[in-house]
Amino acid sequence: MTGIITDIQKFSLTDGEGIRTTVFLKGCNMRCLWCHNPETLLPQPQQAVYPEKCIHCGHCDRCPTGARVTLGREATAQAVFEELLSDLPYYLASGGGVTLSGGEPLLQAAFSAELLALCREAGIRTAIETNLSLPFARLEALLPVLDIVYYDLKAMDDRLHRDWTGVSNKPVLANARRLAALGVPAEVRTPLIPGCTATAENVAAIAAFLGGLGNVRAYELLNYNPLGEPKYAALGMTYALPGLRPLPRATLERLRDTAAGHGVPVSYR
Amino acid sequence: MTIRELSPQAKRELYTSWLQSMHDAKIEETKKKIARYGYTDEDDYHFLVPPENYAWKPVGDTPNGDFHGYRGWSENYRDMVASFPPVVVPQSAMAGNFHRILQKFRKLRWHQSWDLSPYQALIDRYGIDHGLGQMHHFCGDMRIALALGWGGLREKVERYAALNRQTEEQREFYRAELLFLDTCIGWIDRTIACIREKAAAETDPLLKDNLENMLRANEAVRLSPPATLREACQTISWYNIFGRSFNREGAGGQLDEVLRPYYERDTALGLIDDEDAVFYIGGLLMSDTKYYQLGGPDESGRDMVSRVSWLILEAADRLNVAANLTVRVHDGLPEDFFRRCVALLFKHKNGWPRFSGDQSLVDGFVRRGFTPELARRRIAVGCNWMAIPGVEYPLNDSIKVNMAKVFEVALREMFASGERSVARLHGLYRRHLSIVLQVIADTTDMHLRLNHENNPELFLNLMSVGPVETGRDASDHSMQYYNIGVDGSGVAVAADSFAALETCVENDRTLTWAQVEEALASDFEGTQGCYVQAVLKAAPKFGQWNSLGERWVRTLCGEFADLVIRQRAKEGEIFIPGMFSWSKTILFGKLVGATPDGRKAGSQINHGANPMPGSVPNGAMTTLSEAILAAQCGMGNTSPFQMELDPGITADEGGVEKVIALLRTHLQRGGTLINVNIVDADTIRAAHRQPELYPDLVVRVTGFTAYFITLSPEFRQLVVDRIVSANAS
Repeated sequence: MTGIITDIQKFSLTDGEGIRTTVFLKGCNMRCLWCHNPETLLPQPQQAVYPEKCIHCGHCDRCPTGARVTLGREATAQAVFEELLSDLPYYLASGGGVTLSGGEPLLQAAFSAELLALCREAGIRTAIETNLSLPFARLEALLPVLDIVYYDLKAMDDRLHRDWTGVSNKPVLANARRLAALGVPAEVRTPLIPGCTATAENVAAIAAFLGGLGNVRAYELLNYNPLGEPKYAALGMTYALPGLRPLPRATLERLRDTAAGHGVPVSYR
Repeated sequence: MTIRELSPQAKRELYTSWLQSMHDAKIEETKKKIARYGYTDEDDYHFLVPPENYAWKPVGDTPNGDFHGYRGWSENYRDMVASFPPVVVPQSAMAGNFHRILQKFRKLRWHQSWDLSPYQALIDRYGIDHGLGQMHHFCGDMRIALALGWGGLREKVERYAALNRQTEEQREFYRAELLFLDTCIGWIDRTIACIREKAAAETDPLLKDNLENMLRANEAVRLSPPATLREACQTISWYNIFGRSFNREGAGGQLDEVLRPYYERDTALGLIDDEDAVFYIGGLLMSDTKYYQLGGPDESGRDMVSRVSWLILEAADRLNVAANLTVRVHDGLPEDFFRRCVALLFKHKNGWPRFSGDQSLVDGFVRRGFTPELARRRIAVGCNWMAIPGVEYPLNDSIKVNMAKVFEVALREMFASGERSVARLHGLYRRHLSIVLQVIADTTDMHLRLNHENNPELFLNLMSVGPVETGRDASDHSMQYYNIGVDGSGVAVAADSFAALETCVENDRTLTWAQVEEALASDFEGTQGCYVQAVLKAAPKFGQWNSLGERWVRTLCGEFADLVIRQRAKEGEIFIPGMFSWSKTILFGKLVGATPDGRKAGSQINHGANPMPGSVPNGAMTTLSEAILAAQCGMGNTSPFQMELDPGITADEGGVEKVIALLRTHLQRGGTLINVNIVDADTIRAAHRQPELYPDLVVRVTGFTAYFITLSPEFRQLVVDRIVSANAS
C-alpha cells in the first residue's frame, strides 16, 4: 500500500507526548484560510519554485539547488515505517511515538491503517491529528491501532466555520461526540486566528462543549503561525491573510483563562 | 555577631548575597579582560587581570627568549608568583587567585634546538597537530595533596631526593620540585598575611568573621593536610591555582567523592550545615573552571552520587558562572539527580552540566585492553577527555589528525595521475592516513624522550604516582600508563566528499571527474562551478538517516580506530582513537581547499563528531544522535555529541523528561559524551552583534564553556552558525 507524504519530521516535540516522529500526509478536505502547510492541501505531488535559489544552470529537470522542488512523494507504508523505526529507542525511552498528521490523514485511511498497524506491532505508541470532519467510519477503523486522537475544533459557529474552512462544523461536532461515546482519549486544539477564531466567545463555547464530552484530556490554544505565508508564493497560490500577526501573550493568557473551568486543562503555545 | 550565630534563614541570605557579589564581580572582571587582552577564544579559568603596571617577564635560556627544563620553569615560576599581589575577597570562602599563566609566556612549545626536520615537511603537508612539547592534558590525583598537605608533599620530595641521587637530572628534578613547593607555600604565606591585615581592618562583623575563618583555614593547610570541609576546599583551591598558573593545567577530579569524607565528618560533629558547605564549594568553584566529574560508578560499580553531589550543583546554581561539571550517566544514577542536572541546564542555559556515558566508555577501554575497574576510574577531567587521576599520561586533546586535509592530499594525488575512481581514492586516503599516524607516533616518541628537558610537569608530578618516587618527569616514563589519545577531525568533510563523488560521479553520473576537478580548482566560481557545487551539496550527507555519507563515516572512523591502535611506538606508549576537533574547526578548515562535499576553500570543517551544520533534516536531535553514534571509535575515548537545543523545549511540558530520554538513549546506545547548549537563535544573533550587552551569556564552545563576549567575531560566528542551524528546525 502506498501513500503520498510531504515530510517525515523526527524529534517532533509538539505533536503529542514524548519524543515523536510526525508523518505529514498530503491532501486535505478543508481549505482553512490560515493554513500554514499549504503544500499538504492537494492530494497529488506538486512543484514549488523558489526563484531566489536559482543559479541559472539550465538543469531545471533535475534542479540541484532546491529552486524547483517536488513537494510530496509516493512511499509504501513499509518504507515509511522503516524510516520511523530508526527512532524506536527514543520513543520507548520518552513515552513518545508516531503521529500521523497532514493534510488530513483520514483521506488516506488505508495507508494510515497499515502504517499505524506496523507501528503498533513494533511497540510504538501512535496518534493521529485529524480535522474530524470525514465520515466517522474512517477513523473508527483506525481506533484499534491508535492510542490517542488529536483533533481540531476551530469554531463553534457553523457559519464562521464554513466561511473560513470551507466545511461545516456539524460532522466535526458529531464525530467528537461519537469519539467521546467510545471513550477514546482525545486532545483538542483551536488555532487562534485574529478576526476569526481568536475570540473569547468562540473559545469559551468550545471549552464548554469539550467539558461535556468526558474524553478530552487537554485543550490547547495554538497561536497564529505566519510561517506558512512564503510557501503560498512558491506554490503559485495566493495567501488570503497577508500581514496577520501572532497574538500577544496577554491575549493568549486571557483566552486561556476564558476557556478554563470546564474540567479540561487548557494551555496555549 | 558571627556567622554561626545567624538564624538559618539569615545565613542563607547572607551567603546567597555573597555568592551573588562574586558572580557580579566575575562579570566585571570578564569585561576588564577583554579590554586588556582582547578576545581569548578559550576557557576563562576565573583568573584576575593583573594590576595596570604589571610588567613581569620570564628569563629565557635560548636565543628566542624561551625558558626550559626543571631549572628554567621552577625559577621563573618562583619569580612570576612573587610578582602577583595576594588576592583576598572578603565575601568568598576561599583565598587566593592568580594573574598570569607561566606557560603562556613561551613562544615555542618545543625546544628551539630540537631537530624537527625529519617530520616538518610532513607536518606542514598534512597540517598535523602533533604532541611535541605539549603539557598537562593528564590528570593529577588531588587526593595526594589532600592526604599529605603541602608540607607533607615537601617531606615526600625530600625523602625521595635522598634516595634517588644517582644522576644530575634526578638531582635537578628534586631541586625544582622543592623550589616549586616552596614557591607555593610562600604564596600561601603572603596570602595569609593579607587575610590577617584585611580581617583586622574589616568593620563589618560578618565579613570580619569570614576573614578570620579564612585565615584559620589557610594557616591550617599551609603545611598540613586539611581536616575540615573548608580546609579541603581551600587546599583544592590552591591546587587549582598552582596548577593553572604554572602551565594551564585544568583537570579536576571526582569532586563529590573527594569532598564527601570531610563533609560527613563536619556535619557529624555539628561543625557545619549544608549552607556552609554550599558557601565553601561556591568559593572553590570560583577558584577555577576545572573539569570535575559528579556521580557515576566507583570501581565496584556503586553509584557515587551523595549529598555532596547535590550541594555542588546547588553551589553552581547559586553562582551561575562558567562551570565544567560532567555527570557520568549509568544505570545506577539516581533519577532525581539526573532530573536536577537537566533542570539546571534549562534554568541557566549556560551549558552545564554535561553528560558522559559510562557503559560505552568502560566497554571501549576494556576493548583496548584494560579492566572494567580501571575503566571506571577513568573519569571526565577535560574538554573531551577522560583520564585515570595520578597514574595515566594520555596527552589527550593534544594530537589531532585533520582528516579533511588527508582527503585533500589523496584527491590531489589521484587527479595528478592514474586511475580516477572512488576505490583508488579511498586507497590513497588510507595510505596518507598511515603516513600521518606514523609521524604522530614518531613525534610522540620524541616527546617522551625529550620533553622533560623542555616542559617538565613540576605541578602534576607531585600529584601523580611515579614521578616523585623515581625522580623522573611524568613525560619521562615514570607514570604507570601511557595511553596517548589521537583525535580525528573533519570526518564529516571527508565522508561527505567520498559520498558525493560516489553518488554524483560513479553512481548517478551527473558529474564527471574533470568537472569536479575544475570546480574544486576554481573554488566553485562561475556558473559551472556553482552548478557542480550544488550537485555535490545535494548528495546524501552524514547526518541524514542511513545515508551514504553516514556509511562513509562508519568506514572512515572504523579504519581510523584500527590504524591508530595498530600504530607501533618505540617508547612503550599505546594510542587510543577518538573524534574531536576541539575549537580547531576554523584553523583546520583554513588549511583545506574546496572539497567535493561542496565546501568552499578555507571554510570551517565539521565540529567534533557532528555532521556539517545544516546536514540533519529539520535539525532533528534523534537523527543527529544516531549519526554521532556512527562516528564512535569505541576504544574508551570520546566522539562527543555537540547538542544545540532550541530553548522552546525548556517551556515545553515534559521538556526535562524528553531531554533526559534523549541523553540517556544516546549514551546507552554507545554515545560517550554530550555537550549541551540551549540558546535561542535570536539571542545568539543579537549577542553576536553586540556582545557587550550579554556579558552573562556562557556557551559551550566545544568541550569547554566560555563567556560569549570573550570570543573573537570569527569564533562567535562559528557558535552562531551551529545554534542557528540547529534552531532552524
